Amino acid sequence: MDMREFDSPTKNTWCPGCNNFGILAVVKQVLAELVNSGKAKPEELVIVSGVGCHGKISDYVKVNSFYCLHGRVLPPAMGIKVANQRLKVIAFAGDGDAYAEGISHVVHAARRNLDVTFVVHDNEVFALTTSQVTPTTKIGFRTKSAPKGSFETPLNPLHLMLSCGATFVARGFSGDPRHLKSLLIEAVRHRGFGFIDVLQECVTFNPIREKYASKIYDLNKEGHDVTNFSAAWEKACEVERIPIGIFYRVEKEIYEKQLLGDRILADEGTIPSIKKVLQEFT
Amino acid sequence: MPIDPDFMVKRKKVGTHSGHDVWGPVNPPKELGIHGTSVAVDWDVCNGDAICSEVCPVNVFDMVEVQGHPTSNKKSDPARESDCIKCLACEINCPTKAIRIEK
Repeated sequence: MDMREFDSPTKNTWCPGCNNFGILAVVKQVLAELVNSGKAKPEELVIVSGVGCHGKISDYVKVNSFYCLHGRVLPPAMGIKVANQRLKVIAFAGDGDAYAEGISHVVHAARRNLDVTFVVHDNEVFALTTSQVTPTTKIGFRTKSAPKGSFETPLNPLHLMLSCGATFVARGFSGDPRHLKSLLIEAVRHRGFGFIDVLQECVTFNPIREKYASKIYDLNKEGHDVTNFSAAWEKACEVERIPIGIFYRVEKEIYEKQLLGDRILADEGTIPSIKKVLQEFT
Repeated sequence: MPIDPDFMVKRKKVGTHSGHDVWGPVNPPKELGIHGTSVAVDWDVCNGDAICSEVCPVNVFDMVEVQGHPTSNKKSDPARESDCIKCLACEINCPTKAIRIEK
């Protein structure tokens, strides 16, 4: 299967130069590899996305998808996995989506070790609503909502995930699509909550790509032990040089297996058809 | 050296290749010129890395073989330049800045 078979007819409305284009291409390549290696059938792939510029990725990839309310990416992803464990779910969120509106869902999905891949498009700004501060906005960054510069201490997403008991914690960079692809493959392959914080710029409101590019290095090429929690925590503290790659990775039983064993609820005929459910509210 | 943004003024069209223009000077095998207009790839700068074809969401590029060029023996050809949606993923990711998209 070629990645182009995942092209959708929807017109793409991201800004020219948006880093999401590179991420989109990476996602399509990874989906094609999943199908070609026999790990999933095309109809078993599901994309869930939240609200934000990133969210349009649901429209731009031709697979089953669920476009959620703001911040609520992981509850539908969890519902999908609980209903049918066979499905491969890749959930996308923005930094506002994941760390502001939806932070509680992220905490619990990581803690439970839900078997989904969670990709956060972290551009440190609410871009779709034309620039307001998010929990990852750096101190001093001026936006419409903080004209004198943000004064809030930014959240460190990797520390958050490590302290929540996440079993796969990684950071990618949109400026290195090949590295991001290898990272996404590893995250999808990981049995459990595969978390990737993708550093990217917002070409319109926060053009920081060049600044990042000069500081980025691959920590997995420097002999980092991915099973060492303390080492992962320390690496996540670095700001002078910015490490990307897999920070932490351990095996742990997944949520769905503990809840259901090998049962596939979707095959048991107990889940009402979505049409019936929706008709109740129309 | 990156692609010259003013190539359309400073250079002349000397022919076509796979449906797109080629801007001279062209003296193979050492000088190959610029391929394409709205999606322009300077073949004398291109190092055959192919990241452009990997990140392009609409499959504009083909990698073609060339013989005896000092930079590389593979070049990125904007074979379907009319499909370009001007997302700039190729231009941003090109390691040698060989690509220019007409904005």
